Amino acid sequence: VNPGFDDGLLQEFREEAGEHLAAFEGEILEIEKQGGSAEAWNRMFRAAHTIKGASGFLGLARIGAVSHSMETVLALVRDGKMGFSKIVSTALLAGVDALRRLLESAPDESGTGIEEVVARLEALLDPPTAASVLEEKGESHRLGVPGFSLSTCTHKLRQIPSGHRHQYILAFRREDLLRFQREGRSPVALLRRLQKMGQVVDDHMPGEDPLDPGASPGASILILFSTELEANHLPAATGLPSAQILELDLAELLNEIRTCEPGSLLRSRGSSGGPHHELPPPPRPPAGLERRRAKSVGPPEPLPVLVRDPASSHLEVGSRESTSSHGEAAQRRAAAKPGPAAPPREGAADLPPASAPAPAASRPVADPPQNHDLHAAAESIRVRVDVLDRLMRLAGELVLVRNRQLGRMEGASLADREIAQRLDLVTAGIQDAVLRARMQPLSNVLSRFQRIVRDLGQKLDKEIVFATEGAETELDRTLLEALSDPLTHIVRNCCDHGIELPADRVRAGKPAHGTIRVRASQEGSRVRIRIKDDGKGIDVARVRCKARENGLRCEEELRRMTDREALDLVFLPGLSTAATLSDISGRGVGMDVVRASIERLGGTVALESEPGAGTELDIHLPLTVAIVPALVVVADGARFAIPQANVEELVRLYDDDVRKIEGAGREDLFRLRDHLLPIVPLGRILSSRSPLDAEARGAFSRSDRDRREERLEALHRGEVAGVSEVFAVLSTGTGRFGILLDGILGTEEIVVEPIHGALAGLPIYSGATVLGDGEIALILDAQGLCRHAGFQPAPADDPPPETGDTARSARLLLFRSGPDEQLGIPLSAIRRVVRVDPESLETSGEREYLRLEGRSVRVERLDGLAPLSPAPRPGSGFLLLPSGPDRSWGLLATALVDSGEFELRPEPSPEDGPLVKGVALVKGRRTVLLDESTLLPALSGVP
Amino acid sequence: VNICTFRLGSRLFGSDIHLVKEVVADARIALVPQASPDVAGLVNVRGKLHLVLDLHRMTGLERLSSPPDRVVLFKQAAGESFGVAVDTLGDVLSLPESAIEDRRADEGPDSEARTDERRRARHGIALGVGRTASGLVVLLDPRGLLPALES
Repeated sequence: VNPGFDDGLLQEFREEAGEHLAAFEGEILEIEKQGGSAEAWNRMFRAAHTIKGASGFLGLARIGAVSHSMETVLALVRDGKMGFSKIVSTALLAGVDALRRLLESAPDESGTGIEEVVARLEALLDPPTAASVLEEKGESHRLGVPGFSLSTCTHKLRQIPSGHRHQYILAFRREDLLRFQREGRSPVALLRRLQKMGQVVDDHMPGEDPLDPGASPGASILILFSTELEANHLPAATGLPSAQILELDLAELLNEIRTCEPGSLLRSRGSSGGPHHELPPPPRPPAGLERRRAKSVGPPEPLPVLVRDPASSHLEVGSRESTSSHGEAAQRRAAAKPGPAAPPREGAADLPPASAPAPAASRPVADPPQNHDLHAAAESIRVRVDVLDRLMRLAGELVLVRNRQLGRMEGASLADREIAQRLDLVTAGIQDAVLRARMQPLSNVLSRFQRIVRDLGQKLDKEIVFATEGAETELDRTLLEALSDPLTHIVRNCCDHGIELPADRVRAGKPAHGTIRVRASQEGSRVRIRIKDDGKGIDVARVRCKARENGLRCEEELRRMTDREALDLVFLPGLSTAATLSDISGRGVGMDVVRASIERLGGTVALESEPGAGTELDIHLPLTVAIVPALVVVADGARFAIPQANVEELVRLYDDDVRKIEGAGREDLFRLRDHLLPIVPLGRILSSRSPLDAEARGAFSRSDRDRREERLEALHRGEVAGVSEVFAVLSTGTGRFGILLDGILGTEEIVVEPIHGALAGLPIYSGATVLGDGEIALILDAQGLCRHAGFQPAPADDPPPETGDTARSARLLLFRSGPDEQLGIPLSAIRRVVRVDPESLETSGEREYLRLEGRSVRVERLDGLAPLSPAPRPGSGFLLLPSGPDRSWGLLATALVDSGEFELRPEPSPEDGPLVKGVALVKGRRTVLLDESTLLPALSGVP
Repeated sequence: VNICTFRLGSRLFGSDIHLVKEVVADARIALVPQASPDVAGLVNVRGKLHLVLDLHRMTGLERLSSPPDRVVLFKQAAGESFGVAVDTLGDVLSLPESAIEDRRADEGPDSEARTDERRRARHGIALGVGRTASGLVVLLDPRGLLPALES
C-alpha cells in the first residue's frame, strides 16, 4: 500500500469493493439463470473496473491484476466476442472469491490460489480475437502529447459511452493530491467524484508514484477521463489547474483510424523515444499515426508537461491490432453519430469535437455508466458504520437523560412538565429514526445464499432452486450480521440433508429440482423468517433412536414424548455432531449452535418436518436489540434488568398466600393457572457460580419455606404489618419458570451495552446498561438463567405433572350439555362460543352440522364420548368452538353457566375416563372437569 | 519513563503513563455476581461501562478497611476497556530505564518482597520493579492482567 495514506482509506475501499463484489456476484448468478442484458454486463464490467482503478490508487497490485483479468473477460463477453457459458461464470465467480480473499488480507494481499484464478481467467482469453484487446500483447495506444501521454488499449477506448462527448487526460500531481488531502478529499473520494461526473477510462503513472512520500512534487498520475462536461467546467470539477487538463478528440481519432489505410499513412516510429521514455515501451514497436489530436484547455500555464504547440502533440496507435477491429471500433463511434461518419478533419486542435449526442437506441451499452449509482445516490448516502454506531450510542444516552428527567417530574411545575413531555417525544422520535437508519434489508444476507446454494447443488449433484419472499424486510444491522451464520448453516443443511438427489425426487413423485424457500415478514415488533425445503423431511423415529443411543434421553422419556417434542431433540448438542448425524435423515449438524445464536439475539426457533414433504424452520426475532424495554428488579441489593420480551407476568402474593409457593418435596413450585411453574429466588441463582441442580434447589426451597413460615408467624403475632413475595414469570420461548425477587423498581427503556469480554463466559447476562439514575444494572438473559438454575422448564403448552389433591385455581368455562351435570372446560381450550341458530342446522345421517361463516361445523356431543347425560337432539343452545387449528367441529352446550377463575380441588369420579379428569365443587355444584389435552385431539380425530 | 503510580495498601504500583487512559475518583463499582473473584465489578464513566479488576486479590495484598473507590483505567480497544481499583493515587514519577529491573532478574534479598514478586510473576502481570527514592514500585503490565484472571 502506498504509505502516507491511512487505514481509513483502505477500509473505505474494502467496504466499497465488497459491495461491488456482492452486486457482481448477484449479476452473474442472475445471468446464469436467465441470461444477461448488455446493461448487466456493463454493470459488472464497471464494478470490476472501479475495483481495479481504486486498487491502482492504493497500490494493491494483486487486486489490480485479478480485477484486470475479470474486466478483460467481461469486455469480451459484453462485446459479443466471447460466448457465455458456465465455464465463464465459474471463472468469474472464482475471481470474486479471490478478490474477497485479497481484500480481507489487504494491505498484505495474501491469499492462496490467486494466480490460478488469474490463469483461469486468462485461459478464457485464449482465442485469437481475445488477444487483440490485451494491452500486454501489444495493441496499446498512446494518447496525448510527449510527457503528458498515457497509454491505453482499444477495448478501453471502446468502453467510452457515446454520450460522453469529451475525453481528457487529467494530470494529478503529488502536490494536487496532497492539497486535496488537506482539504479532506482522499484519492478514493476523488476517484469516486470523477466516476460520478463521467468515467475514468484508464490511469497511468508515468514515473514516480505521486503518493509515495519520497516522491517529487511533480510526480503525477495521469487519468483518461471521459465525460459530458465541457472543457471550461473541468478545472472546477476536478480541482486541477486547466494547464493540467488536456482534451483529446477521441471520436475523431477513432474515425480516422477507420478511414485511413493503416500502413500507408502510418509512419513507423521508434518505440517511444524522447520526452516520455519513462513509459513502459510497448512490446512491439508501434507504428505511429501522428496527427494534431490533442489540444490544451484554458490559458497557458507554465507547466512543463503540457506542450501547447499543436504541431508537437501526437497520438500513437499500436500497429498490431487488426484493421477490422479498429474499423469496428470506429464504426461504433460513427454509428453513435447521427449522420455518416465525419471525414477526418485537419487542424482539429482549435475546433471543439463535433460529435452530437447519440440517440440512446443506437448503442444500447452506451448509457451513462453511473446512471444507476447516481440514481441511488439521490436517495441515499453512504454513512460510516462507526458514525452510525456512535449516533446510536448518543441516542441511547439521550434516552437515559430523558429517563432521568422524567424521573424528576414529581411535583414539577406545569411548564416543566411540558418541556419534559416534549423531550420525551423528541427523544422517542430520534430513537426511532436512528433505529430505522440502522435497519438493513434481509436481502443483504439472503443474496449470498443464491451463490451458496448454487455451489452446493453443483457439488452434491442436486438441482436446487433458492427462492425468497419478503427479502426487503428490514432488521437492525447487528442482528442481521449475527443472523448470517445461523442462516447459512440452515440453508446448507437444507441442501445437504434435506433435498434429495434428482433421481430420488422423481421416484418420490416430486419435481427433480428441490426448492428452498425463505419467507420473511414483519409481524409487529418482530420479524419472522421461515426457511422451508421440500426435501425428505426428518425421520422422527431415527431421531428418537439416536437420542437413546447417545444417552440423551431414556427410553421412558422418549416414549412419553410427542413427535413434535422428539423433533425438537435435534436442537440438543449431543445430537448435533457430524459423526452421529451423518446417517440421520434430517438436519442437526450444529443445530444447537443455531438455536443458541438465535436465542442470544432474543429470538426463538421452531422446527416442523413432514417425512417426505420437507422441513420448515420458523424463526422469530426482535426488530432491534439495541434499545429494549426492560423490567428493573432488585436482588441481593443490586439491580438487574430483564428484557420485557422475556417477562410474561409478575405475581405478588400477600400474607398467607405466600404458602402457595409449595416445596413439592424437592423444590419450589407454584401452580399458575393450570401449570406448575418451577420457582427459584434470583439471588440464589446469582450467588452460585456453578449451575444449580434439583438438590440445591430443594435445599433453598426448605430454608426459604422456613423463613416464610417464620415471617407468617410474626405476621400472625402482629409483629409485622404484612408478608409478601413477588416473582416474575420468565419465558424462554420453550418454557417458563419463575424467579423470586427482592423488589421491583419498574420498567425502563434500557440501552444494551455489550458486556466486557472477560465476562462473556457468564451465560446469565446478555449485557449491561446504565439506568436513569446513573447506576449500572446487569441485563439478565432468560435462557441463561433457566440453564443456570438447572430447570427443564415446563413447556408453555404442556399439561403440568399432577401433584396430588392440592387446591389449584383454573380459568374455566362452566356449562351444561345434558340435563344433569355441570361441566367445566379450561377457557384456554375454547376459541369462541356461538349461538346455535336452528335455521342453520343440517343433518346428515347421525350427524348434525352447523353452517357457520360459509363452512359447515360438526356438532359434537359429549354423551357419546363419556358417561354423561344425553344432550338434546336437534342441537340447541351454544357451540363451543375449540382453540387450535381444527375448525371442523364444535362442542354442544345447552346452557352456559359461568366463566372465570375458580379454586379447584379435583377428586376422582366415576365419570373419569380419557376425557374426564375428575370432579370438583365449583360454585357449590359438583362439576365434571374435562381434560382439554385429550378432548380436543379425540374430537379432531372423529371422522 | 513516566510512571503513573498508585497504592494498594502500603505497596506502590505503577504503570507506564502511556498505557493509562484515565483515573476515576469516586467510582461506584457495581458488582457482577458469578464473575471471576478477581473481578471487582463494572464502573460507569460518562455513560460507558468499564470492567474493574480487583488488584488486591490478584496480588494477594490485603484491603484497607474502606472499599477502594479509585479506578485507574487502561487504554484498550472500545468495548474491552478495563481498569483496576486502587486505594490511593500517587504522583507521576519519572524513572530512568536503568532504575527499572526486569522482574525475572529480581534477586533481591528481601524475602517477603520476593514472595510477592513470585506471586505476581506467576500471574504475569508485573513488568518489572522500579527503584525510587521512596522505595520500590511494581510496574504493572495491563496486557497481562486479563489473561491472569482466575476463572
